[in-house]
Amino acid sequence: MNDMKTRGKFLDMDTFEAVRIDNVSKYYGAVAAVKDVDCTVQSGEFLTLLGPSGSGKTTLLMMLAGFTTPSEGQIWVDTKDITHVPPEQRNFGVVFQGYALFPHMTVFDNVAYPLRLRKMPARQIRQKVEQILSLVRLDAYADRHPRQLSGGQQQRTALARTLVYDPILILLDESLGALDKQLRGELQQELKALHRQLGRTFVNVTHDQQEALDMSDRIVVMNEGGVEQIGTPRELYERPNSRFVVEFLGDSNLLPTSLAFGGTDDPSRSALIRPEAISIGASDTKPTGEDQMMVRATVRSTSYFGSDQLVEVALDSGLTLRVRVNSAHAIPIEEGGSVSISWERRNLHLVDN
Amino acid sequence: MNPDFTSYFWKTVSLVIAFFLAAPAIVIIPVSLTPSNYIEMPGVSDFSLRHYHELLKDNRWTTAAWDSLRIALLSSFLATSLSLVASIGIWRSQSKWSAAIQSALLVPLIIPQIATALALYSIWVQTGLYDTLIGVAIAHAILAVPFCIVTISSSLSNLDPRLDKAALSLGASHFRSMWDVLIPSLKPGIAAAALFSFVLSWDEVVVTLFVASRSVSTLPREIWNGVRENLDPSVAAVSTLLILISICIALVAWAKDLSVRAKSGERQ
Repeated sequence: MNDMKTRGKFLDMDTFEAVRIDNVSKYYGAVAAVKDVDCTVQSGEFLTLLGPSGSGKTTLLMMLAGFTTPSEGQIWVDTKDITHVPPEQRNFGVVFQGYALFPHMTVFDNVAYPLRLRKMPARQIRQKVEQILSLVRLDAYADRHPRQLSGGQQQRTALARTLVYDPILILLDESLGALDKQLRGELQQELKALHRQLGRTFVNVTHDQQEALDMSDRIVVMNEGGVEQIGTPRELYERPNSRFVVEFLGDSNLLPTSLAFGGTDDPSRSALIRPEAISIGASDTKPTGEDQMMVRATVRSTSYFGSDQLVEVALDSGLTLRVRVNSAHAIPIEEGGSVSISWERRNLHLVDN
Repeated sequence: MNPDFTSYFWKTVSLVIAFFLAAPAIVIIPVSLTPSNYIEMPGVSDFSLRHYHELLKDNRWTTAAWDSLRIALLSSFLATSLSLVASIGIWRSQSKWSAAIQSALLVPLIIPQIATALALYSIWVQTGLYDTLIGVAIAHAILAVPFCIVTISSSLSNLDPRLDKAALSLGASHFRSMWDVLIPSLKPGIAAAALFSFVLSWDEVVVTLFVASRSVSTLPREIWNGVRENLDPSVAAVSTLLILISICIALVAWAKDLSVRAKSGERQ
């Protein structure tokens, strides 16, 4: 089982089927930073660990990287137990928060470093580094030092340094967190393209739900050290299984079931309806189909965002709902005005209270 | 109050304090230039370099200078490299004991030097290190280690621990990470520690008196002997040279520091 613990030897695998996090917990004193986490990383996928700060996502990533040892449970690469394999023998790649570029080395030397450690001949190193630098569009910056680079260039250098030795698993710790919004968007697209192009396996840690929804094949939502839900972005958004996931991912309205479906109330559950699934119409609009639920409401406030606007309406019961209206289909909406709002029953999703 | 006056006032106070600190050292310089055979101030126009000539001729002084230099270099190397490894070990360790270990390493600072000297004497005699060059160098290194640890640890506290982790994740051993990543980033702190321990050994006399006798002699020790045996102005000449060398080392370090700052400034 511990046949890979031989010192000085890299994890000797070119590919794998799955990395399995098997009932892993990490305690600091009496505090559980990570508690009973079970999850599997499939080969080739882009998996995101998403959660608020303190949810244990970074601790879990550091256990994958080997810097933190689980208090309980194992981590497997296929049938090999790597729980106690030190980080320098895992042959994983880690892009750290803040990038951790070596300040005294040029971009070229930073990227060449892992290859030099692997004793690759100099000519091959040059070729490989130049190839990867052009992949991340940094060919012109090879002789610069990290402090002479912008945030985005530093991020790409760190990524190049990680990709250059073809690690079987690439771990990203909030690697876009420090950048401004527009740059973050651009780098998200680049990273997505790289993932598709290289077919490598990525595990990304973030607290940014938009980043998670946009980039991931699957998302692991974490809260207070445990896993709340695992699924594709669409599954999590449309069929969240807890109030936490509802409130953490996207904008939401939670309605009593009697109001949402009509009929008797189920006090143990609420109905989720997303703001963009609610339509807004003139107060005298009539329901158009069997599946449609319609109620009268008063407009509380509106916020205009260009492509859409967010309208807050109050029902007669006092409940307020958020409605997102596409600017292309908007009717005139005035604060204080009467409107009718409606939704389709099939767009409702039940969540336990 | 007039700001000009305040500024002049504090400048004057600073100068007076600086003079007060430097005066004993400065007095020795004219004394070394006296033409007479006794330690005394020379007349106003009565300077001579004869005692410096005598120094160069007397192999007692040249041998002592050579021993001093070798001991200072060796003890500086020992103290700096040991402190470097110890500081990095403490810095890397996430153990709750690391703070306690760091404090323990600083304890020699509060032990009276004479007690350390006595202890070293008895151990060196038993182990055969007594009156050997390497024995004196190790003794000096022991005195210097706490200073080096303080200097290097303060450099380390400014270093991003993720640099070390990044090197490990790329496949470096702990040793390679220290050699390739940590040491280059700690250069200024290491240089300061090396300089500090060199100077500490260069003018150390108390411990040297205890752990060496005839076969090893450092410059400060020879000065000590010279003062006790015959009050000869060549002692003043040696002291002057020691002061000048120390000032030169300090100036080199200062210039180096300035150029490093200028360089990092222009790259910002």
